[in-house]
Amino acid sequence: MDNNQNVDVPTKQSQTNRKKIIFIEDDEMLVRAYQNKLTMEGFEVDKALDGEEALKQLQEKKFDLILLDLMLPKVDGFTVLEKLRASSWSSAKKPVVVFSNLGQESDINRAKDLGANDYLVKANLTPNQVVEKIREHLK
Amino acid sequence: MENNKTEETEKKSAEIKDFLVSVIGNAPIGIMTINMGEIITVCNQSLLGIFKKDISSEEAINQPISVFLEKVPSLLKAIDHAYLKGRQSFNMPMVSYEDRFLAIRARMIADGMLFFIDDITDNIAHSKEIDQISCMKDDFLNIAAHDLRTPMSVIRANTEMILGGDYGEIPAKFKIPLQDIDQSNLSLIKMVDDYLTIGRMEKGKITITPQPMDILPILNFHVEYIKPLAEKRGLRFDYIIPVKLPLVLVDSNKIPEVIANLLDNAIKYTDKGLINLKVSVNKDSIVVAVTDTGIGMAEGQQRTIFQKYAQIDGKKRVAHGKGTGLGLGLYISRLIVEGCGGKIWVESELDKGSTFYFSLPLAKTPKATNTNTNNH
Repeated sequence: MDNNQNVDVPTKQSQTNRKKIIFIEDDEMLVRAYQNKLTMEGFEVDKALDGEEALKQLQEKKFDLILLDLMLPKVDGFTVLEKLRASSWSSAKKPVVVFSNLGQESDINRAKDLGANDYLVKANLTPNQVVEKIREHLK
Repeated sequence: MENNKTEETEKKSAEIKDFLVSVIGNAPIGIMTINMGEIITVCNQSLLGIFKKDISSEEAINQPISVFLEKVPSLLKAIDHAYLKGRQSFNMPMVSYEDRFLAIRARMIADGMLFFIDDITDNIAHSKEIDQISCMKDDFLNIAAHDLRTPMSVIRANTEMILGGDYGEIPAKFKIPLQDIDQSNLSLIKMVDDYLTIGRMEKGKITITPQPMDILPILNFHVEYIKPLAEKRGLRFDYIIPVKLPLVLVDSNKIPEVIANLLDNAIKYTDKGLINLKVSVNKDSIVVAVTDTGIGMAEGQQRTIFQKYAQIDGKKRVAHGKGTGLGLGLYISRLIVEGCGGKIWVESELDKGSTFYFSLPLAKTPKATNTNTNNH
């Protein structure tokens, strides 16, 4: 895994009760920025760069929260969400926070109908606001 | 004497006739007349060309229209109908004839009907092409605007993390350049947002749903938001807001954008003096007024400022250091306010300042609504 570009960062939580997040996003630079941010804030972060990879990881591992982009290569985010919710995987009922640049009402409604807990438009939030939202859903 | 006069008159009318024949014969539009018996009486060269008739005008004259136009049954039908109704004039803006499109105008004359027939096939093809290009352009700009958001979110995340000290303390001299990067990027994000919002509003993908609401909390929120920004620019900020406001009909998701927009503009275009926010209650509406002592606008501009892509005069903006913006903010505000049933307008004087107003209709009192409901 090519995680070496990430900086070593002090974390705010002890190793034992770290919440595990999967960030499903195809833009590697955005993944890097948010992987750093979320790690600093004390989360454990796995990434998936396309929908297929995301489904594979969701099937194999358990996550406390899913941070999900919608426009993804191979399998789009709507489908990932639909399959997760219909599955018997360990994360099937965990909060899904959509993190997309599709800001249309129709996209937001579709994602919510499929079982998304929140819908964030990437460009419109500061990293701190994103962390805050994630914490809310992990309470 | 008598004879001379008759000769002269005859000569003159022969001249007029030649002149008219020449005008009609050479007109670049198909001209034809028929008599009451639906027989062709006049027919020019252009008309023969349109219907691909390889005959002379003389040969066409005296032909029954039903034979001459047998391939254009819709026109024959329209003529029959017009004769039945007492030779009524009619227009047929687009009639298909073989692989062509014709525009036909028919007018009644003393002893029959006069037709002007134009081949508009090329015009139609041209306007279709323009429509197609315009759609492609819209699609392209929407995709481009959307794709711009991803790199802008990367810039935003990284800049704000560095500025926020996530990677450790930053040297003081980096702070302002980093803030400038962040601010410029936020302007870009706003521009792209506005562009996408307009597209969606125009396609009806964003609907405005006005509901009775107290806008006092929204106003107070914006007062707190704008205070430090005004202070930072060395401007005084005053406000007069009643302690209680009646309910108005607004879309609670959209109206904050209008208030923010007017206040942001006031700050953006004012170098010194003050910004004033005033809310007043009228008989059937409340009026929000944002006054500034900024660059103002000439009268011509006041009329167009709420249109799409409208902007303060280019040179003035540049001189003011405001080279950015798409001129969509006030257009969006207008769509929102009008969508709520209100009005938006401006009073301004060049170099003196502006006051932007918008009104929102009062919601009917709950009492009245209850009475209505109880009647069911």
